[in-house]
Amino acid sequence: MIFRPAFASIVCALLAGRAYAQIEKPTESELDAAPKQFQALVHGKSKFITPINQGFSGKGNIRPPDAVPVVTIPNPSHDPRDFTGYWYDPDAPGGQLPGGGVPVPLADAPPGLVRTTKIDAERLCIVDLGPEPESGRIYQNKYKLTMVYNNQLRARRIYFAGHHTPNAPLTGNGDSIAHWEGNTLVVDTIALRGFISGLDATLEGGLHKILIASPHLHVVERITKSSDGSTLTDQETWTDPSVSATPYHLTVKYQYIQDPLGYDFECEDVGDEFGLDYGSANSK
Amino acid sequence: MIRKFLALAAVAMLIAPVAQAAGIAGIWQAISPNKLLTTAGQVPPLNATAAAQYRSNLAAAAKGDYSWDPVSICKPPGEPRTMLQDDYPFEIDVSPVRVDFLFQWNRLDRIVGIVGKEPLYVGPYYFGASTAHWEGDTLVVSVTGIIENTTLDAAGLPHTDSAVLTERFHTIDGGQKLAADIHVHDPATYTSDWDTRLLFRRLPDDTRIKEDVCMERKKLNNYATIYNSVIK
Repeated sequence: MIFRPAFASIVCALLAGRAYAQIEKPTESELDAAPKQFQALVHGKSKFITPINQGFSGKGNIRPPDAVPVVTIPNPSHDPRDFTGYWYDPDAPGGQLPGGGVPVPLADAPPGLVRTTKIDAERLCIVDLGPEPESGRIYQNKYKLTMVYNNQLRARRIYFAGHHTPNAPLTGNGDSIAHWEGNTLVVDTIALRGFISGLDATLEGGLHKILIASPHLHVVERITKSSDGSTLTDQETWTDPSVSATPYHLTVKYQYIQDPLGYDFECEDVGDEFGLDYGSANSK
Repeated sequence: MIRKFLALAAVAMLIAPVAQAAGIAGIWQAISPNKLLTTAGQVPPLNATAAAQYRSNLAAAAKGDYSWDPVSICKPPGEPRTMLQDDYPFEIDVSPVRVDFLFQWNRLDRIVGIVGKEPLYVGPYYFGASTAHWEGDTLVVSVTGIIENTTLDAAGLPHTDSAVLTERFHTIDGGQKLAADIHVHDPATYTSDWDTRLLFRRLPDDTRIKEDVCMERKKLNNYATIYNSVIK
């Protein structure tokens, strides 16, 4: 769900049989000359928030302070099992608010889980992994939690269920089920496929670090809420015995804040304007 | 007693938005076809230029040519067309500060802020810039700045980026249907304002929204090829 790093080395994939090719980093003037929707979506306000040379989050087009909604959120619920609200992790993609830095979640994951590649999956609009720590709004009902991430505005759903879906298809969000252990929400996710890329700054030679889900990737999250309702703590364990014998442990703390409403951002636009060939427009 | 009644009434008013929220929240599937007509069942009053464009789009589509349609290369269908994409349900979630329209189609999300004032305009955007408020149990959304290269429906009904849509979302038939009453003001495209009503049926609350990746569905990228390249 990241679209974080700078525009360095936009790599285009071979779509329907063509080879991968390297595309030069666009210049500021090229960005300015981009079609208006691209300027507006990516270059216009995102430059205000996260200068292009520092990278940007896909949904980094966060409204500046003068456009913050005038309707104020209620105080956080003290119900330890009510996770509704906007949860902000300053270290997560999509968590950048004005003045925030460029985070690197999962960058210290063990070798095997993280690989090095010339492919920049984020530029290809490849499906990304749902369990990655993200800032966003959580909606909750008796059937599920719906997490709407600020970064690229993708939704992840976690179902209250006793068992995984039989033969669940591999997806970016995977098959996420949850149950309560006391006031801890335990989320178990399997059937994942997809990437987390941009785990670090672009490396020499246009290489990227990337975390790839094998069909064996298993993520367990244990999420608890602080007694004052202002913080969610998510202890994650990422395990993939097919690539690493070492589980990767990660703890993320989210703060309850006012929603920073974002604007449309479409990955397909980025690839389109920077030369990725998505093929003929004549098929439907 | 009166004081107690007034206090209860005040509490009821405070929690009213939550009750309103429950009305349109849920999972919805379009009943209306993805070809807009006015509430009188007529083709909207296009001006001569727009009518020619519309006819051109229809003629091309009849031949299987969708080169005019960015949706065919996975660009967002825009507003209100995304809600009408065939066989793709969407979820509406409501909070005090925003309403989320979470579409199955290519995993698109539309955020409608309950902002109380005009949003800062930096568009255009596929879903436009929306300002919303509640009128009783009806969510009233004003949409501006919709990207011009989208069409209002799958038939290719054009608009300009100066179009203003006023959408009124509310439930009917005991909450089992969602109505979106839409007023279209786009004098650069239409000879007069017009109205349409879109209908959606409620799906069971435990319906699971599937993951749809348009680029893969359209075979515009090849996940397996990329995955194998990285693994190697």
